[in-house]
Amino acid sequence: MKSDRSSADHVDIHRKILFAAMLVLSLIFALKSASYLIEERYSTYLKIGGYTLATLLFMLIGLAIFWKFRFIPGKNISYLMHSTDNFVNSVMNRASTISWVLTFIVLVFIMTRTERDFSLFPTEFYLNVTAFFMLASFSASFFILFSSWQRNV
Amino acid sequence: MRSELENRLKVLRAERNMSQSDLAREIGVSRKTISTIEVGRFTPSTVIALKMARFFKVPVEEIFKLAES
Repeated sequence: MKSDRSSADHVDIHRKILFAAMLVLSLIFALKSASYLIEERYSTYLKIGGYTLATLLFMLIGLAIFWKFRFIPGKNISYLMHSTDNFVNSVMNRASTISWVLTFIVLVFIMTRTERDFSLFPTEFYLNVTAFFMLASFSASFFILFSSWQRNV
Repeated sequence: MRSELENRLKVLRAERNMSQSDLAREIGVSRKTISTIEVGRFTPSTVIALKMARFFKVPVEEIFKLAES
């Protein structure tokens, strides 16, 4: 397949696929958290939603692996994937900082709201909520930062 | 947030009738990287600035300069 895109452009696409997968994974954690909050009769819908998202997640991960090996050359892969010379990697670093701060705020919020009494829900619930916020804020920040630049071009 | 760095990339590209994609390919970065540098949203690394200067065959100061405050 002939393409006008450079290897660096393909790294941009690869990153978008990875962050889409991360967003889907965050939704899976959200559904697992929700299972502790909603009535038992709705659990079937959550399971169906969970399986659908898991299928989508595996498809996106497969696509990301394919994209990496098909379009990004091996000789300078480390530079393309990690160097902040490329805008996408700079955006990724900023998104990770935002995600770290928001996750910390969520943890503090959970600690203050529960007054450090975590007996209301099982530990898994708190872990799922935290994982959801961390992954959702990371991926959402990435897409917002990446697209906000695009509007100014 | 606007960068304090001004650049003449668009002019230099136009003089050579190059698209952002053409320049990106020559420098080894994505088209998005070039476009965000042009509008002053992304400050290029020293390596990228030097690669651009080498490609256009001009000193770095002819491409980038600090904005007058």
